[in-house]
Amino acid sequence: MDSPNESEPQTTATGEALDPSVAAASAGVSGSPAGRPRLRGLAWLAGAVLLVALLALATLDFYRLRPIELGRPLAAGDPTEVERLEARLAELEPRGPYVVVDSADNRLRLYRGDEQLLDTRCSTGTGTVLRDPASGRVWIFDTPTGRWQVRKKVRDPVWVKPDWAFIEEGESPPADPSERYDDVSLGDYGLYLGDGYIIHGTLFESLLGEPATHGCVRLGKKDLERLYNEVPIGASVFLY
Amino acid sequence: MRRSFSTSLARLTALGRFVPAACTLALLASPLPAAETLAESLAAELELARGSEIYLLIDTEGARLEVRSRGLVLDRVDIRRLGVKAWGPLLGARHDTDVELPTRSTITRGAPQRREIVVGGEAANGAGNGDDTPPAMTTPAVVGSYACVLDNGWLLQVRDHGEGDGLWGRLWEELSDPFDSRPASRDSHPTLVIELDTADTERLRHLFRRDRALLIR
Repeated sequence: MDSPNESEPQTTATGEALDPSVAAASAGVSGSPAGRPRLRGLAWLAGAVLLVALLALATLDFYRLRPIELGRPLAAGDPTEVERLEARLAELEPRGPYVVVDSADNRLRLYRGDEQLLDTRCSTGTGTVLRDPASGRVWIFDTPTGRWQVRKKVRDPVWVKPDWAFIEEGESPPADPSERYDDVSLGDYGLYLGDGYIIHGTLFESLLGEPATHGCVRLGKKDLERLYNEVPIGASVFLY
Repeated sequence: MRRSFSTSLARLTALGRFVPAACTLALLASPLPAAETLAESLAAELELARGSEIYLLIDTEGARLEVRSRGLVLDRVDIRRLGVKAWGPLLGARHDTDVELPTRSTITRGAPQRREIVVGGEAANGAGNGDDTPPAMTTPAVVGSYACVLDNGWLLQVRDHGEGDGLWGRLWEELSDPFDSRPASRDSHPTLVIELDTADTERLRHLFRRDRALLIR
């Protein structure tokens, strides 16, 4: 009803016949006199909907994020106190060489002060959980975090295999302790950190850079030798 | 009439652009400061640094998240965005504008860790000394968000910096996110949100564990 008369071709102001598609597009934009109120009504309706939506947004509560401004310096407070505290923090830093192990990226770094002496691939814990179906015991193969210290250094270390090493293979832990000794798996050197955690070598250097251990830190042959020679007993080892 | 309708259309379009802009401006207003002095923050860190544990430091000035121990920075990543989620109208002032960031917190419920569980005898995955094949651990899928509970009642959400930089993105995020991390009640503490790069979010997941201390400076 509101559409232009379809029986007669539309003409322009100069009297030329108008292409029907152009005519339709033109009608869609300007609208016929009868269509104008409808378009106007739609515009008002859209405006009203938008207004209601805005009012709702302004009044309803949302659990929303308020950004914190980054880059703004903190008030220093007492400068003498700041200096004193910074000096005391600096005193806690290791004096000699120290080791940092990043268990997410499987990297081991050796530092002396601010100087980085070594940055190499290692392997750390898989994070796997082992469950013993017989006893129900559970082990989690994580590399621990925190500051540890080198408690002893051993050439040609011998691994005394714990129960999980057998259970993992589907075997029962042996009653004879001598069956637990393994003088091959740990490589040429071991730096013992305590609680059974060791920085040691590996038979499988292709796995370096990947999580592959039960919690110990594995290193390649040359890197391990360097670490053994440069890191003294008592040195800090930061695991994270 | 054509001009009149076009003008109306243009006005509506302009309004459509104004709404998200206004919302974004409202969201960006009134940043929350870390409420303390450097001396107080250093004192809190010194107390932690005397121990042997790793602790996390959110450095608002440097826009960094640092992994520290004994005062040493072991690792640091950029913070893309930091914020506090709390109840309030989308437009206008929030109800709890005086909320202060906790200076020091401890995680009491850590981020969920993805682990493979093996039963003895089924492992034989190279983690031991058997063969030279990679361990059968499944590669963790990249999941952009995890949450922790802090000892002071705050929630901590670590998430990757995904979409949301644009005006519509921000608006959509604000409207959709409440259904993701809404606290149990309005009496709950707000949520501290740290946005990192996707890789960093996942790389540091294992550090957001129970008993980990968190400093905000």
